[in-house]
Amino acid sequence: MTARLIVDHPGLMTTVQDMGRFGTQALGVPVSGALDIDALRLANALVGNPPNAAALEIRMVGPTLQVTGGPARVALTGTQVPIEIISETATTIPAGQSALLSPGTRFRIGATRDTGVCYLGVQGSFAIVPELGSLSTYLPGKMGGVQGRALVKGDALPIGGDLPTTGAERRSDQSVLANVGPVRVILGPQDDYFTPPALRTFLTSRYKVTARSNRMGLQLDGATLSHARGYNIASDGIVAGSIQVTGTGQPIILLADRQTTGGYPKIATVISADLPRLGRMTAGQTINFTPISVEDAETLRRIKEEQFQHALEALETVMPRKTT
Amino acid sequence: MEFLSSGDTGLTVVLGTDVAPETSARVLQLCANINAADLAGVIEVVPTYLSLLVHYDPLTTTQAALKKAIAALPAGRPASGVKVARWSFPICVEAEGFAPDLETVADYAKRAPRDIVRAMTSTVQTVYMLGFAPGQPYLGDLPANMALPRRENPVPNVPAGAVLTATGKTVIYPNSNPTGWHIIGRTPVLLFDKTAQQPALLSPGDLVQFHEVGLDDYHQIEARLRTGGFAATREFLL
Repeated sequence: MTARLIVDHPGLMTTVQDMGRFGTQALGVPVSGALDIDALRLANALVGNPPNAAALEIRMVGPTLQVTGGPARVALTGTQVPIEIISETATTIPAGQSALLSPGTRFRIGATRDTGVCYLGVQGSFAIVPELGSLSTYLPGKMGGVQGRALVKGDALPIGGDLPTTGAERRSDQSVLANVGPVRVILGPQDDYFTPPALRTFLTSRYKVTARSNRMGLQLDGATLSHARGYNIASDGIVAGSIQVTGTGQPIILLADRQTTGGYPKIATVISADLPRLGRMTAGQTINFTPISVEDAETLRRIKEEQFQHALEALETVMPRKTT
Repeated sequence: MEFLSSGDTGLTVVLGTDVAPETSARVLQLCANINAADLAGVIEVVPTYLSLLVHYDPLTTTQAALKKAIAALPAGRPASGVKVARWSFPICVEAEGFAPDLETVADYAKRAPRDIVRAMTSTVQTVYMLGFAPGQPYLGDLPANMALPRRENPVPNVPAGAVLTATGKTVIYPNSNPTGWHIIGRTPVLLFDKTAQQPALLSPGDLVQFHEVGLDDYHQIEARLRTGGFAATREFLL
């Protein structure tokens, strides 16, 4: 028997995402994957999954789901908003904690005002056939996840693996996701396409995240950055965190659904250690940038990963609480 | 060979300054050499016009180590004996909304819109690279007088099949996406099939020439290619 999550209400935009689709960028296939891979990995760790397992990525307003066919162990991360069990007793499961839900349980995740994105991990992930090696949903290409689209009412997501059994649950205070201060960048690869004053402006101004932002990238609004040599380059490759500046002089930080290549000059690249927090940002929030070297960025990433792994290994275990 | 940092997960290796089939051939050769070398920490390599982007895992290697390893690879020799595919792609400009920017391009080139269509269909273009979206080809080169810059600000939601130009290059959109390019026609060609053994129809180095079709032909060809998939496309357009 397969346990399933039935979608009673899909929320604003709920998609299946793992850590991305690698190996086909040379064919033009974007990587996609979780906007916040740290919150994804934490959700997976809480329910006992490998880090790359697919979870539900929830944007701003969460879904209402029902467990059928068997129990399901779930955990919500990346927000402080709890999972609400829909029942007469109206219990909640705090974010950052796993819980075993019995068949028939209906639950919802409300509006997440504290983040642009959060993750519902499910023990066993989803029994969905990967496309080009990944379960990540790439909406414009109608690829991955559930028929390449966001969840809709009536979808039934088959849960993978063995049915979960009663036992200790895991808990995290989610402090491992904290990351504040300036966003660190490595200048280039086309910083020479900008005037020296533009580079100074970029590193000393605050930029506001606009409502035009999406899974492809954060469209920023702030001080205009002047190109020194026009805004057309021979298209070249793009990484997560590439900051391209279009003809308007406004920067765009490219994220999960980024195009594989592009022809606007890229003034700088956000370091990999700082990418997950960008995926959480919402319209109206502001950021500023500070430059560091490649070597420092690589070191910061290694330190961050050590701390992250340590935090995942040191997750608190708690006695199961009765939820339904 | 010049190295540029694309953050701490990407190393851009630049092999030239001018877009040309010869530079492209060297890029593709180095790309093949890097893939064959199976360097530790390399996730994948994306070849483009003048450079290739080596995506790497900074937890497995460093950019400094990668630079050293790539500089030590054997110099690229042009690939030989590879059969170049020559494609003939239908393009339709006559339907409402198929070529909204044809006049913009014509004005820039100081020619009539018909002349632009004629230039498009008489030029044999090289597939320089695939990028931006699944299976999306970048073709070139169109006559120099048509090489207008891209838009200042991207426009949203250009439909699949749109044929666009900027900077003397041509792209075909395999799915709906925003664009900074100018839309000058529509083609029914299926460029990407995620279920195929080789999911992208075109490969860098292929040659493509457009031929103009009316709207009725466009719809007929579209129906035929949709049912027949890649097999029909190869048979019909090669």
